[in-house]
Order: sequence, then C-alpha cells, then structure tokens
Amino acid sequence: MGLFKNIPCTVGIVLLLLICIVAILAPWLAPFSPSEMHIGNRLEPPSSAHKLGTDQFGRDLLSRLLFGLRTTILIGVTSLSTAALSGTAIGLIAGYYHNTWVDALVVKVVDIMMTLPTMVMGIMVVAILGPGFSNLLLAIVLALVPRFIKLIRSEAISIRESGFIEASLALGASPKRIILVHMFLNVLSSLLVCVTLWGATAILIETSLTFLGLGVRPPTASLGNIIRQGANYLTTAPWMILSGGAGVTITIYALSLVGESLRDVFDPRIYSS
Amino acid sequence: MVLITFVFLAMHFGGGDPARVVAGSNANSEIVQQIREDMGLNRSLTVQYFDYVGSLVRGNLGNSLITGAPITKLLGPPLLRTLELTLVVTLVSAIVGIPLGIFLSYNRGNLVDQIGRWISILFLAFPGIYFAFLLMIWFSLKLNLFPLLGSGPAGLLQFGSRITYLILPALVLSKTQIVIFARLSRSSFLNILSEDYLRTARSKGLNEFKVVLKHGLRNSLIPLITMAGINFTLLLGSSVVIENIFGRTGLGRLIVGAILQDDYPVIQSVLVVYCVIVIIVNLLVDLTYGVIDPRIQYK
Repeated sequence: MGLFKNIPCTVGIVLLLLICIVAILAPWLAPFSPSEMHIGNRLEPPSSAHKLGTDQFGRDLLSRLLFGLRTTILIGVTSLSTAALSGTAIGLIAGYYHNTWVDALVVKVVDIMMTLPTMVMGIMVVAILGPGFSNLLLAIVLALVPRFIKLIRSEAISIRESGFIEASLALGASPKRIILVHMFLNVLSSLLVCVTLWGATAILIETSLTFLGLGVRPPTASLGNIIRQGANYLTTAPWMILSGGAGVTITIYALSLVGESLRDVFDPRIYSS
Repeated sequence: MVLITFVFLAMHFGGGDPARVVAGSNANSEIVQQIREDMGLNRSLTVQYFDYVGSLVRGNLGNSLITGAPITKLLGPPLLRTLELTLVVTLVSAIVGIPLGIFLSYNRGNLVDQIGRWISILFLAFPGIYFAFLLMIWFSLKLNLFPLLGSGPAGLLQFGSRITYLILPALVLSKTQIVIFARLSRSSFLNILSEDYLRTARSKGLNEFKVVLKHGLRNSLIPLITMAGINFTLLLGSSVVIENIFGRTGLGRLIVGAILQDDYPVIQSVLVVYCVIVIIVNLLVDLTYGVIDPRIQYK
C-alpha cells in the first residue's frame, strides 16, 4: 500500500496514536487531579512543579490538558462514529433506491440541512436545546451527518450503475446483501478519508462551541474550556491559552496529515480538488 | 420558507419557556401564567405560526425578551459588522488566492507545487481560534499595533476608522479562505491549461499574461464563483467564533449572547437572518453565472 513510505502520513499516524494513548492514560499520566486546587499557586507560570503552569484556581494545567484531551477525543470519537454510521447507512440506502421517493426525500432533507453552515447548524442545535454535554454531541452529529449522506450517496449511485451490481442482482442477491457487502465495501475508502478529515471538523466544533460557553460545562476539562478560561487571562497568564491551543492544533494537524495522505493513496488523481 | 418554519417549530418544541424568562427565575407560577397570556403563548400552534410569519412579512421581528427593544433595530449594526467582515475576507482571499492557484498550476507536480500543498494543509488545519489568540498576543499585546477588542465606531460611513479593528479578524478568516481559493483555482486551471482555445490564443501571439487573464480566468470563473458562494456561508459560521474572540458586535456575538440569556425571539431572528443571507448569496451566485458566461440564460 505504500502508506508507511509516505512520511507525512507516518508522522500523522504516530501523532494520532500518541494522542490517543495520552488521552486514554490521562488518569495515570497526569501529575495532579484536574480539579485539585492549589489556591496558593494561582496563575503561576510554567515551573518544575507545574510543567505548564496553573490556572486561576491554581489547578495544574498539564493535568487539565491531558484530561481535556480525553474529553475532547471522547466527544469527537462518539459524535463522529454516530454521524459516520448513520450517514453511511442513509446514504447507501438512498443510493440504492436512486430515482425513487426515498432518494428524493433524503436529498431534500440533506439540502435543507446543508443550507446552514456547519458551525451555525451546531449553534442552532445548542440554541434550541440549551448548552450541555449531550446537546453538544447531538449538535456535532447533526452538523456532520448531511455531509456523510451526500458523499456516500453520490458514491453509491455510481457503484449502483456498475456491472458487478447488475451481476449480483442477476444472481438473485437481496438488496440487503448488495448494500451491506458490495456497496458498503466499495465506499469504505472514501469513508475512511472523510472520517479523518471531518474528525478534525468535529474537534473544531467542540472547541468552538465550548469556547463560546455553549458546550462542555466547567469544571470539566476540555480543550475548548481551557481556551475559554485562558481567553480571560490573556494578558496575565498567556500560557493557559498557548497550551490549550497547542493541544487542539496538534490533534487537528495529525488528523489532517493522515486524511490527506490516505486520500493520495486511495485516489492519486484527487489532489486536484 | 421551509427553514423559517423549521426554525419556528424547533424553537417552539425544543426551547424553554419564554414567559419564565421574562418573569425571572423567582416569579411564582401565577405571574408566569399571566405573562404567558399577555404574550399570546396560550394560543394554538397554528395561530402563533401564522402570527409569526405575518409579522415577519411586515418586517416586524418582535421584541427582545431581555431589553424589550425591537429586534429589527437590534439587528442593524451587527448585520453591518458581520457583512463588512465577511465581504472583506472574501475579496482579499479571492485577490490573493486566485493568482496563487494559477501560479501553482503552472508548477504542477514539481517541488514548488508539493511545498505549496503541504503549506496549504498546515494553513487549513491550523485552528482559527488559536491563530486568533496568537495574533492578539503578538500584534495587540506585544507590538501594540491593533486594538485588542471591539469593533470601532458604529456609523456606516466611518469605515476608515473601523479598519484597524477589522484587520486581525479578517486575517484569521482569510487564512483558510485563501487556501481554499488557491486550491480550487489551481485545479480548475489545470483542467483548462491544455484546452485548445488556450493554444489558439497563444499561437495568435498573445503574451502569456493576456492568455491567462482573458481566456483562462474567464473560463475558470464559474467554479470559482460557486465556491465563493459556498465559502461565504462557511465564513458566516466561522465569523461567529471570531467575532466572539475579538469582541466584534456582529451577528455571532448577538446570537451567542441571546442563547446564554435564553432570549428566544432574538435567537430566532438571527437564525432567520442567517438563512436569508445564505439564500441571497446563492441567488447572486446563480445570477452571476449569466454575466460571466453569456451562454447561460435564465428564462
């Protein structure tokens, strides 16, 4: 496959693995508890005791960053997998029943959902249901689902027209088998590319909504929350925002590296669009 | 229309109780009931819906629950702020991004192209939030070049004195937009560089600059304009966050403030305004097609 000969991709995968390991092992790696307050050491710059400094309550920033990464990754993985699974299912069904009312309905709904930009869609969900963890998840899922449906449906339509689907129909394969086996396996490569690239979008939506005060509620640490708090202490404690922002940047950059390289591997022509 | 209905229904079923917001959290249930009666919230859903659409058509968006001010007045200045920012960003990005894309398409496949690609990924992946704060720390706090927060004087014609407030937010938003424009113009130029009409233009003895500008650019404008339209709506989304970071009193700040205060009529109105902007932009994009390419006609 040549995937590992690709340096940017290898770097991206290694980074992603590291981030995941760090997020999973956060309780063991963190020097302090993320909510433990050291009132005497508020807003301290990075030192040997607190590697990344402390926040306005004297909480250790390194520990908050590790736990924040954990929260953000958890939100990203949950919402992304929900969006990808449901989007793929709906997209495949719509693609299979192309030119029927099912497809027409799906296209209409997706078009309406995609009129609003992803971020505004997310804000709208939170506006209607109120801020909070589960509403944040729902907001990300609803913002990403139409994109998945659109992508998978268009792929599914072209696969539906190809000879091997006709052959298996002639052999008496059921729609369920054709959708699950033939069509699903053929959209898998583009799905993989988009999962990595839109994973970055999911994390961005989490950070943005939480930054706006509409996502994860404090005191739970998440990357968005660290940035939100840091924004209030921009002049006195810039290290807060610097470490929080670096966490987001590295995660998103790793995802983009892997996504772009996967795209090259699966479809060398595409680096045009 | 569908979107307005959707927003209305969603706010009706998903939102909290507007009467409770007006009454405040300590009010007893009788007062809430009284306010509910006054606001007409006890009427049936259809009556409320047509009442709402009717006043929308008459240009009346209702009053803010918190301040009591009419929303149509509340919306004006923020709308101007947001449009100002997004339009400047789109223009700047097109002016920088398109020539960059053309340049890269001439270097197809060589080292410059490859480097350009990875730089573009770096730019795309760099989160706007972080970029905004880095710029603030560096340019506003360290170098003291630009004001840290705010959006400057409000008047329509005082654009000149507002411009220092505009530069940093515009820079943050342009970062992604330039890359998107450059990528798209690169790929659409790759498609037409080998076309016959470009060869004809060259063999007529036109210099390369004219060939690109007159024959190339005009033919690649359609996908670019389409993209500019889609991007504009994306920009509206990102502007929500950027406005809140830089303290610009735009639509994004208005809606986030309203969400945090449960000011339902304002939330609803801003969402409607977003929808209307998106629809108008799409319409403009469609109309521009006919101007660029006379072969496209609307009946």
